[in-house]
Amino acid sequence: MPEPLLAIEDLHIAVEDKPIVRGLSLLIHAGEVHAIMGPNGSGKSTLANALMGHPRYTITSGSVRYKGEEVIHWPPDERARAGMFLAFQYPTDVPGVSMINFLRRAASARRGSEIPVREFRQQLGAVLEQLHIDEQFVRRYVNDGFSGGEKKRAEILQLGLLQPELAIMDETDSGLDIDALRIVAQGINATRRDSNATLLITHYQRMLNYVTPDFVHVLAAGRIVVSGDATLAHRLEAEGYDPILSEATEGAPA
Amino acid sequence: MPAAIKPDVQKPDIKKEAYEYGFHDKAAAAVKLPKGLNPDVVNTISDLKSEPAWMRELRLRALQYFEQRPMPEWGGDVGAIDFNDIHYFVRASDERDEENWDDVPEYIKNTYDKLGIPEAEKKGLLAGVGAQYDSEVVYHNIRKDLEAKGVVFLSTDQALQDHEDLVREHFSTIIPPNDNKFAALNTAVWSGGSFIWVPEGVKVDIPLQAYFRINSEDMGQFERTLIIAEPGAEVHYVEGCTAPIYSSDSLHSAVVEIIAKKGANVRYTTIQNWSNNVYNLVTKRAAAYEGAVMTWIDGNLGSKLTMKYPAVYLMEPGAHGEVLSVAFAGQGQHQDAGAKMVHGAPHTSSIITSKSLAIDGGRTSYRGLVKVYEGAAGCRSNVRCDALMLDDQSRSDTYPYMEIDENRVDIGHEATVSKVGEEKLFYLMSRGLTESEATKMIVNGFVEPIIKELPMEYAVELNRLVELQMDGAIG
Amino acid sequence: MVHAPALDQRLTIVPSRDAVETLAASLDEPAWLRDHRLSALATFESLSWPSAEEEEWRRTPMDGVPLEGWALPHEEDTDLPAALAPLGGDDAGLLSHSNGSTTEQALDEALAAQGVLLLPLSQAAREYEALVRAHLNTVTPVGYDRFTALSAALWSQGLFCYLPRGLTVERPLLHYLGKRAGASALGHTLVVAEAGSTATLIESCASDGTSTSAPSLTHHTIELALDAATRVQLARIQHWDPTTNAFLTACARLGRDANLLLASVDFGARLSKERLEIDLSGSGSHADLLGLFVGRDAQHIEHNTRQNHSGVGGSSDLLIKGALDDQAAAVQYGVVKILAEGQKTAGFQTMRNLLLSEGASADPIPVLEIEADDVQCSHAAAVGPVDPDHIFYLQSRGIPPEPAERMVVQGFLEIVAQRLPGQHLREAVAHLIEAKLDTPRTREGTEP
Repeated sequence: MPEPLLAIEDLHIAVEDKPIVRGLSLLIHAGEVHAIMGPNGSGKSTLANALMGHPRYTITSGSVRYKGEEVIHWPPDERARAGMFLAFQYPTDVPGVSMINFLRRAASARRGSEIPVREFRQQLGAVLEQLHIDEQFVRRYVNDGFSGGEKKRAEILQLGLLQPELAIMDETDSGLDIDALRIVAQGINATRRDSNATLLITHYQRMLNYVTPDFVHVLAAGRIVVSGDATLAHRLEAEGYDPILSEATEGAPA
Repeated sequence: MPAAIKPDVQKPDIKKEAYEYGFHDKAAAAVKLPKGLNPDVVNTISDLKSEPAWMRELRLRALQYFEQRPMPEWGGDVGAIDFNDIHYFVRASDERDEENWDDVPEYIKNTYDKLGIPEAEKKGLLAGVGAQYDSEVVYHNIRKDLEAKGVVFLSTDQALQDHEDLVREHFSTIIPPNDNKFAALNTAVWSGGSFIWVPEGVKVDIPLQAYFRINSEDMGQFERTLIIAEPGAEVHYVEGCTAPIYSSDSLHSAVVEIIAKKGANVRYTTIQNWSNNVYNLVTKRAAAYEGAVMTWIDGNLGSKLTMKYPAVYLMEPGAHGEVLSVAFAGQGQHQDAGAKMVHGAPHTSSIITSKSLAIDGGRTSYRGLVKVYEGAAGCRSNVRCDALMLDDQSRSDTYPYMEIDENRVDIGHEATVSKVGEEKLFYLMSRGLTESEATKMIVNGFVEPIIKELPMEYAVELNRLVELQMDGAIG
Repeated sequence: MVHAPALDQRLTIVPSRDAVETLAASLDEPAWLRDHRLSALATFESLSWPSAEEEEWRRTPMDGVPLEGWALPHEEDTDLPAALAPLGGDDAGLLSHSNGSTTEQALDEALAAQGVLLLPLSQAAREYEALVRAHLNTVTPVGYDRFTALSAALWSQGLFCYLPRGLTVERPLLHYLGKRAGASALGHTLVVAEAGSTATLIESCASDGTSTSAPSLTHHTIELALDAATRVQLARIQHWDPTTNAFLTACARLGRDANLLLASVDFGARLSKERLEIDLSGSGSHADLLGLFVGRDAQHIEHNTRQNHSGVGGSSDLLIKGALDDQAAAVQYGVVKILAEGQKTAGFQTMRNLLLSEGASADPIPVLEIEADDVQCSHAAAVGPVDPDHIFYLQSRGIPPEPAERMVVQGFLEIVAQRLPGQHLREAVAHLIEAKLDTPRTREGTEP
């Protein structure tokens, strides 16, 4: 096996001194799609935010190696420039800052040099077309007054533009109607390459109808309690979390 | 078990006279000092109470402050108060045993019966009851199990006799005698009020209640309440106030000091329903220490003029202060109420929620201050004031002061003033409600966020009082 | 232009009959205006300076404000200060004042032919006596306070703008106001808009100088007499040097269905105190009040606003946003007043202060006084640092923290800036914001 793109080892994360993620380990290789599923409060969003370096989430122990480098002390912008990407569950609005200005700054940061206007417009135009997003969209302020669906689309737009190597999708499917879900899924599939990987964090199985994961992990009480392939997600859909969780915990050492 | 509590409040007959507590007893008082204020009056009060010398000196000092301080020129109109036309001390009865209801003179008992006070205690809805009639507390009692745990619930006069050291240590430490003109006045002539001391870790699970009644004409009531919650203690204190209707005005000027020590939780609820001839000028302030929670719930329905801004000084990290305030101003009333939150330590938080209603020429004012000192990083404060105007004769003001000297804070204030929404009215009327029923329902919904914080029987009472006020106004 | 003997530029002015008469003569003013000034002088003498007892002055740091002995120059052949940012663009007319003199005046000929006036106030008083007399100090009374009385007696930088009935002036009219550092300045702007007229006036004031100049005082009175169905926008960019104590009293009276946008943008001065008072007595009138500022060092930036509704169906909307760094302080004391007759009105206030340093502070005080019931009023005020969630979001897209914070701050101010009239002005303001934020911190680490 080549070196994993992301190696999480015995990770513990606390929020305001309250432990949320308690000993999580996970390996993700380039070319793979992983899904992390779990009931509410299992620590899914905590994991996503901590992987991106959100200051409110404290990593109390363990390690996160991205392309072989320990990143837990990296600021979020450094992680982003290195190719990590988080599609937020609740993207914040930044009133007064236009999408286009923001996207160009972000694209330049990812590239490591100022991106020429013409080239940027071409790239952006291509992504907008692919996602069926009207150009007027980028004239608006970042997420300001966006509907839930528009916010999710704006996240996918950034995913398409920034071409990350590791995309963490935090409940990108929640709150979307079926058409929006399909467009978002297309966006994820369109960016899928052998050289990059995706970590889908979701509560429901329905996103996985459109984006087929190579691995499915079930998160409960801050740990991965069971892993499997895509069929695990179907089982969860059919049976709910409870039977699978009790099976998993029965087998676990006391 | 608490879920089984059933309010025993019946829908009242709607009288022409909206104020139902306007009666008075005609019995002669045992002691009534002549009108006017001077050192002799202060000395006489102190003599009558056989007070220690330090208290007498404090009173006399406060009298000087009172004379020196100017009348407030903001808020309501206090210019008509004639300090020479007030009886500063009226002792209803020479009967001195506070603990026995049977010893309370019959006419006073009748008054409280009419107000429904002993009922609640009998039913076990209260952990303790105090009743103040004019200047002095005529009845005070506490559940035996709480007494056994060391909880002290006495009139402040009695506490000064029984627990002098405890009183001396805390009295006037939160509100200094020269804090403002009316606090100085209270310190000079105070009488009655409640003293509560809750020992470390003791949780008083149901409320202690005090009931304040002004009976005499041209009377000033100056009760003084002091609550000390030791670390980890919890207590909820509820006070209600009524007075007869006289053609001349009365003055009620209380001082309430609260100390919530580390991790303590104190809740102080006021249902103020003075008659419309009472000036209600009250200073209430709490100091909250590490991790303590202090909540003021303040319902102002009565009085001619109320000026009252319950304050929480957040002294140590983690302290939280909250004020929930409902004000209702009808004809001839001005409710100038609000709150004050002083963030003196990092990571303290406060919430102020104010709802006011003005009808029939009444005036409501929200007046508040959120102060954050430099260095008090990580503070959060959220202020929300809503005012409902029920006709075009009334007035509503909002004066929210903010003084923010620290940048790492999250301070927000929002306010609205509006009338009852036409769509809401239309919707309810389309379902068959009359306009007046619909309006009342909307008003009830408007004050609901605060009402729901009250214990059930008070919630019912407050709702009833709001409806009664509206009946007087909209019929 | 013909001038009487100029005032000695070094002369320190004491408000006196002599000073007023000399000034009136030097500006070649008609007798009625001289007498108006003299009566203002009497008012000045009868008043005292506002005291800290008054609610609207309680938070104003008046220590260090020179309240006598001002150097009020009246210099010919003077240049505009370099700090005066050219607003560029295609203007319809302009008037420049510097150090007490008119340095330039121009107006589109076609507009002049249609009756538009853009003149020094002294000249207007001479040439259009009836018009000026009918309006001067009727919107902002001489005796509003001692500052307005002082201005009324001794202003030298005056502008009169007249918009004839039904006329639309498409391009902006500009008023530049300059002075030397250390010099004081008193000015007066009078706008009379006849029914149905439309125009945009931009005033820009600046002085060159550093914090070592002598402290000076400026007061400018603005009067906007806006008749029915007028649409007037007035934006004022204040960029005085850091020793100036700048006071502004701007009052507007709105007729039926009149529409006003009054914007103040503050970058300069040690102390800036602006009183903006709108009389919405015309039924259906509407006013937008905008405030935008960046405070640095120990600047104090204060807005006192009043939205007075007495007309039926009026509306007003105040939005003030500012960023404060170093030890800068801001105060907003704003009142929405709805009188009993002001039914069916809507009044809004929003005050938002971003504190960028530990020493910065802000006291926003939005006041509502409502005597009518059929109203819609709300206000919101907030104080806090840049939202860390905003920074994190931008950081998570690869933008380092400092530029991320800058973007958020600029975006915060952009919400106000985008409502300023004209692309050129918006761009000029964006540059000034950037330059002000870029100024290196001067006092970092010197705090005790």
